[in-house]
Amino acid sequence: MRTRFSSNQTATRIFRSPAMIGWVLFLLGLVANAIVQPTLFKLSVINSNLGLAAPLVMVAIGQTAAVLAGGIDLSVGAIVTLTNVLVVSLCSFHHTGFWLAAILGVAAGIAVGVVNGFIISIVRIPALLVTFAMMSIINGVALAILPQPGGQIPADIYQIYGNTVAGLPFPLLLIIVGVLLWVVFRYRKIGRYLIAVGGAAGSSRANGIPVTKVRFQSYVLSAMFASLAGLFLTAEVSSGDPLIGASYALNSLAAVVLGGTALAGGRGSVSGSVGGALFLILVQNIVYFANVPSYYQTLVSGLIVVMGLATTGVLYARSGKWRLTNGR
Amino acid sequence: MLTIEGLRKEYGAVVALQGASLSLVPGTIHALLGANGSGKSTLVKMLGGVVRPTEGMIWVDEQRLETGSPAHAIHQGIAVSYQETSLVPSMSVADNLLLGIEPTGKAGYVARRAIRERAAEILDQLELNIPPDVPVAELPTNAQHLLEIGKALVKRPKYLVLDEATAALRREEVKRLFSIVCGLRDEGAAILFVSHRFDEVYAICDRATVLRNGAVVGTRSLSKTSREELIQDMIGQRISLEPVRQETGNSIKKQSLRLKARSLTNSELGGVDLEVSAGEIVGIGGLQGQGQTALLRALIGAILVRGDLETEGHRGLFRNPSHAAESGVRFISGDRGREGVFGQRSIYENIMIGRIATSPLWQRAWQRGKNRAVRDLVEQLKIVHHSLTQEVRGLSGGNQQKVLFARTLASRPNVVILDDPTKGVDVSTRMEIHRLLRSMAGAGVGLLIASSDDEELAGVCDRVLIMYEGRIVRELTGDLQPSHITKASIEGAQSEKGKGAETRADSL
Repeated sequence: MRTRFSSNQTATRIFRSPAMIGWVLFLLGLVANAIVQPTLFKLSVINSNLGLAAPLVMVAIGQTAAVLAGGIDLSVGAIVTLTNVLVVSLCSFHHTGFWLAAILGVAAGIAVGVVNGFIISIVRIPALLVTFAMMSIINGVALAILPQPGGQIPADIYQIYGNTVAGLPFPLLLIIVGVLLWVVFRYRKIGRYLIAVGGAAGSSRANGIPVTKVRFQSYVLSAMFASLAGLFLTAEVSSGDPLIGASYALNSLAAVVLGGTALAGGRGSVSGSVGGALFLILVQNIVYFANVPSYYQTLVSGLIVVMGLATTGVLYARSGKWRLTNGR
Repeated sequence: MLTIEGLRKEYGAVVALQGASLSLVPGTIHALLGANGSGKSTLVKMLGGVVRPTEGMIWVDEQRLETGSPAHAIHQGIAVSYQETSLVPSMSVADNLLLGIEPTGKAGYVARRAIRERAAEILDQLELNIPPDVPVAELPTNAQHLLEIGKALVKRPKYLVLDEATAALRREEVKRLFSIVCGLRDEGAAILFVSHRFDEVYAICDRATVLRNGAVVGTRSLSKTSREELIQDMIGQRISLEPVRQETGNSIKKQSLRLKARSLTNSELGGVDLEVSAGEIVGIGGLQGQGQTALLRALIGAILVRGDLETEGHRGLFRNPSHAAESGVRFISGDRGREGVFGQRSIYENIMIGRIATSPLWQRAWQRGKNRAVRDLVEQLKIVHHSLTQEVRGLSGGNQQKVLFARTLASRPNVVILDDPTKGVDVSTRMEIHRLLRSMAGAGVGLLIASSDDEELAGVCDRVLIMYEGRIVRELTGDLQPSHITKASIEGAQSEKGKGAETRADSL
């Protein structure tokens, strides 16, 4: 009897998966973008678009971990900034080698996640407050490290970023590496437990899942991906800026929600968030190439994002339909 | 052998359990009985490690169990099926079954194929025909409860604790569960079986421990103990088991019609007609899952249905439950936790919301002077509490149910529709609720009650409608006997099966 379900089940599952929405939006965005910008599929254009996208994709992956586990991480943008200013100032003003600077920059970002995780999971202060405060603190630290935009990283690094490797745009490889890195976690116990804890913390505890530890780790993961994003961004822009990460906190949340992950936690996927992040990048392209006057660009792109979110909301309501439990 | 020694739990000033002791012997099934609020669930949660005792200890095979650690309890071979379930709704059936005990490969990756295989095994054992990758949230309640049990079974426990595991199950599912549980017992497991249903307790248990007000009254061998003796242990005084219907009797004259439904039809209902008069209690019986739940929900506009409906001052189907409530038709769900109480809000708010819900949005909600009305209701229904501002989730199941009744009464309804009003409620509260239903009817309210318990229907209803495959096939009136209702339910099924073919041809 059970086999009866399996034939159309895979299709149903893919179609009903919340991640679908993120990818459908991405494809729609791609079509719209191709119409207003005929050169979209030229390698150099793809390359520069992916270059813009890679950091946001990374931040969105990390944010998904925090949101799935029932939390939120507003400090990701500050972490991006921190890694950027640390790497650049170490390279330019302290003559550290790039790779050592990169390791230190990422380690600093992860340290922020450790502090977040500790305060949220062990001291038990709401994630919204903790990460909001941490955002201010880390932005302040970044300003202290690098008060003005400037500095530079070695030229060979940012030249790789704009090139292709084995025929593939380098930023695409970075995105693939980011996704693979996530896969390492997703298919271990931690990947399941993020969803379990976000979905029903009490049930998770009753089943012997270390809830506190899982919450802690979700913020470390989030910070790790954010600091890698900071590294990618640094490689792309090749200089430091103490305000560079400001937009990532909310954009990553938008990507997560566009990708069909429930802000309440427990439901969603990183795949959807990647689609959502790519869509957000496309929206900026579309608005620019559709010759929207620059005064109105944020207004229009905001409207498009709201429509995308509304679609997600409507489709979500349909897939996880509210219903009174039927006795049978 | 598992031994509990002097377990005590205090929540602030409230003592939930005062020094309970008992031991589970391998190869036996041990019943744990007690009225609501007697501390059964607290005891169960301590065994599972979810609640840490204030005092006392648990010994498993001569080893001391580290209390307050679910992981350690599982490691020691204790598996618990919780009354309120411990499933993650957004995760799949298979993932839930092996939650927390996922097999992993060498590199630390979860072995998904192994999970699916183990899940399929346990689903087969439970004869549950559900696809293993559907999210648990999409399953009906009884399947979810079976999964909760499956989740305990999959751990191959030495000590299995079943807390009200049968309350949400259908008869045939209970039978299957019992054969599995007896199999486990024969293999040398010890089982703690918590239930309100005496038939079930007598059917499979060897010994019973009775709790009253958080203390152990005694442990008895069931072969030497009568039902009355157990009830007396639970309640602490002699009570009559007489049905309450006779007290007010059928003396209430049929007055005006309160609710009239005509040919309600949807995927689960095949044209249901029914009428409820003022002062009348109409029961809906039948084998489980014959559309009773759908009928109740169709009446209040919670699910889509075609047909016609008439109530006092309103004609036509209700658009949604709040539309029904505005017209004085109130629903009390059988799913208290999800569709009943607001667990984190106070008793006061839980009761007042019934009246506020239908008043204009801008009206001042919490008016002074309403306190009095709420206090009267709480006293009238004997809701055990220490303050009106107390959170409802801290009350026992029976008291939560009474809060729902108080809420309904506060809204002064014309018609009250109830789904399994005494599910998971102890004997004495159950009788109080039955009396309350009669007194509501006496005050002119029309009541419609669906119940899987034929004794309840016989005891409290004036008429009982028997449903089969979404239609009403029999109506029983006069002197109602539980056995008659059961018989009619089964007969209804048989007589309907014969002419099933032609009716289906008709509907095409």
